[in-house]
Amino acid sequence: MARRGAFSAPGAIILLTLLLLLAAMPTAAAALHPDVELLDADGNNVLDSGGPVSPMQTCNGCHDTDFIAAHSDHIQALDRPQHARLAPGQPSYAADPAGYVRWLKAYGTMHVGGGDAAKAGLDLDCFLCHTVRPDVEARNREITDGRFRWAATATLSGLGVVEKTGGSWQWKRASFNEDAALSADFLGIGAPTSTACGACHGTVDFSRAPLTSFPDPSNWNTYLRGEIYSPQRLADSGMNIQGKDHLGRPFDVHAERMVSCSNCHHAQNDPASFRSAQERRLGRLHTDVRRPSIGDFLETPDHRLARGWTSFGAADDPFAGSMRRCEDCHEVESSHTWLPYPKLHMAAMDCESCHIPRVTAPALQEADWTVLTPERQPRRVFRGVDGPADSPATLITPWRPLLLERFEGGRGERISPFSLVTSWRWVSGPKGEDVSQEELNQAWFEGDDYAPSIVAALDANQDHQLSPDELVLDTPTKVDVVRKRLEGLGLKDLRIVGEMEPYGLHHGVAPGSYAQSDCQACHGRGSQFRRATQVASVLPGGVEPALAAGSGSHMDGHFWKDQDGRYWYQGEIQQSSVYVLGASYDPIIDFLGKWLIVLTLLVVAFHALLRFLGARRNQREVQS
Amino acid sequence: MIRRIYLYSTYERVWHWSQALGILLLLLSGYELHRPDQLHIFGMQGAAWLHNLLGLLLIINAIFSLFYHVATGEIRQYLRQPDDVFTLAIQQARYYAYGIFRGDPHPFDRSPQRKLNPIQQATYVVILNVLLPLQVITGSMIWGAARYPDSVGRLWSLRLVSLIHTAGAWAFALFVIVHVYMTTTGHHPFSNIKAMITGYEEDERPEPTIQPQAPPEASQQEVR
Repeated sequence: MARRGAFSAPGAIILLTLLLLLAAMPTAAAALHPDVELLDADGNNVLDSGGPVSPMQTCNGCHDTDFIAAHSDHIQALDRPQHARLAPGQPSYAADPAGYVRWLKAYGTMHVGGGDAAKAGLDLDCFLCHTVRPDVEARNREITDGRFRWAATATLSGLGVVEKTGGSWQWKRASFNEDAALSADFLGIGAPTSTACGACHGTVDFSRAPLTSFPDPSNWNTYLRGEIYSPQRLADSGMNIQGKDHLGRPFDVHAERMVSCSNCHHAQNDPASFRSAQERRLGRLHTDVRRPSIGDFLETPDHRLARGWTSFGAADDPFAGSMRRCEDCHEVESSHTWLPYPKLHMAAMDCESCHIPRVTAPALQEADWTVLTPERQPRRVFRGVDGPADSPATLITPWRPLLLERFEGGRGERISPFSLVTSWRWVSGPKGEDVSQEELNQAWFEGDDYAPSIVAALDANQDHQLSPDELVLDTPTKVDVVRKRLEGLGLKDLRIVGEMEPYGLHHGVAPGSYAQSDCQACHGRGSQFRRATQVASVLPGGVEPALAAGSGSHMDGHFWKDQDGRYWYQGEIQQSSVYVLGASYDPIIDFLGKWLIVLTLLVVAFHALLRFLGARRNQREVQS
Repeated sequence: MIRRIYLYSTYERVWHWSQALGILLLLLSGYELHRPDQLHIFGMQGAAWLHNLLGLLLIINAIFSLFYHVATGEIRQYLRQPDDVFTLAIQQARYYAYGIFRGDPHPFDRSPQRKLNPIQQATYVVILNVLLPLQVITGSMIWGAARYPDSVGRLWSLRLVSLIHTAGAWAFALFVIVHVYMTTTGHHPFSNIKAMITGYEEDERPEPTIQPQAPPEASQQEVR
């Protein structure tokens, strides 16, 4: 009898076909894409003109780039008034219209280009997100040097099609094909990878090298929230995290399970992922099967990406809550059989409340723009470290997020974890307009050095230098010195304002085994809802910060200043609309209950004593 | 001469002790849920499970007991009031306030027809008709709100209901303390408890000072 092989002929063909398909998958999108002729702003091939590439012209042949520019959060986000202040407390560029270029040089590395930035020459850079190996650093250098027109060209230098020689960019004709175009395979055109998102949004790391991450204002999510998106295990990272030898969990379980950013934050009209926002969904439909064709989507991809209930601006955002939520993928009740009342828990709180039990990277706690460091930056204090946050030697102590209630549209108010960032800045005039960065520079510095009057006021140890510890306006005298310097610039009605901004935590998700599963973490008098959270290490000018308007969340607890001048917040679950068993209680009822029990026991004991004494007396009388 | 009176039927005793055990465990598990930082007996999950189970058993027990008391006419023990109820209640209160210290005889003698003195009657009417139903209703509301937060939970304030339930629990705890102590005020400190175990009350005293009303059926008194 002939020996049968491991596979029959049809089986082998099917297997081979599957393997070929699998091998082709990563480049499938690129393979469908035609070769790309790089065009400059006038529509000429860059090999002919030698000019900078214009993605708006290059991609417009197939994709409606004007539509994309008009329907892109990445462009419009920074044009919105509420985003004019890029970082907490930072003077708004709206306060310095003439300084927009200056602002763009400083912070344009976080801007994809287009919109207002396009007017200054920073074109929408499609290559940044849609090609492999974008050279982000080269792009950033062009932006910080003010050569905005060449930023997108620099992005392509990672592919080796262009290089900078002698201070100017030269296209490398040899990299192009005979039609003076680049193949889509070579460009690696496709949906944005998580790494591409991470170039601006935070630390995203899929490499095998030990991960390190230090606070950087251009790494937005990591800087403000301590979020890191990586499958790497904490124990294997290069970060100095307290007790990390016992932390076998990945930085983010979704990264470990190969979930990419665009899986949840997809294009609004991507037919593969489309789902209407909860508020606009027809009441009796679980899903709306009507969706755009692939052709329509590719021509006019809506770049207003699906998103959750962002901390700011959600109230007027029609797409708030349009992204996939945990429960869209995860079956909650069957995976939480240990949890009493799963429906109640899921109705009251976001999954992140337990699945982000601690944050393992430093995050901004306070940005004090009332003072300037020698680098013209604010005094910054980071949560989770007790030392310089940018030093690999500084020990990172995983910190607990602040749990607050936040309004989430149709989902009502839900408990969610937050990173609380507090900032102070100078404002002037009756409307409280921001003092611009340039005005601050002028007030604080004379040339490259601090103004002598400021050094005299702040130099506590009389060494004629301002150390980081001395750089704080913690007395009225110090405040007055800076105020007078600013008044000298013609500013009036100067004052310091403080704001607290709670930033929602949604990345850095721990797997179930590392999630919060101790009931008493929430239920009990030591509940997280009642835990004290440090707001600030000091109150500049003695100004107590207020919760920023439009955050959607509320802080129902109380604030206090300790003897070291630190400012604290403690939640008061009794003030909240949420009832948390073991943590919520009425102190009057408990007080009355306890003392009535004590009183009753005393009365009973006294009554029993009298009975005992009476019985003895009666016995003696009978005997006598 | 020792009078041996059969006061409590088997069902009444089983009902009483199951109620007692249930209420005690409800108070313990309830307190663990209320103050998990102070009491660690069942664990929060165990306490929640036990509290719900006991609540259900208490309701079933209450339904059976209502049927029993109505069917046997024992419900009259709680409802029937003598004409001089206030006089007897004052007499009873005086006894607890100072007569008991002087060795005065108990002003009320129990019989199968009248097992409860007027103060007991009033107390049990409040406990069984007000406090117990209040706890059952508010407890069911909390249970319902936890399971159906989208529908049931919106009908009332869980916070308010929980506060009422907590207040009721404190009241039950007070009742238990007073009730247990009052069992010691019988002819002997443990005679009442013994009666609730065996069903018989033993009394060495002379004939009662307050004659019970004529029994509706054949007397169950045994004299030896």
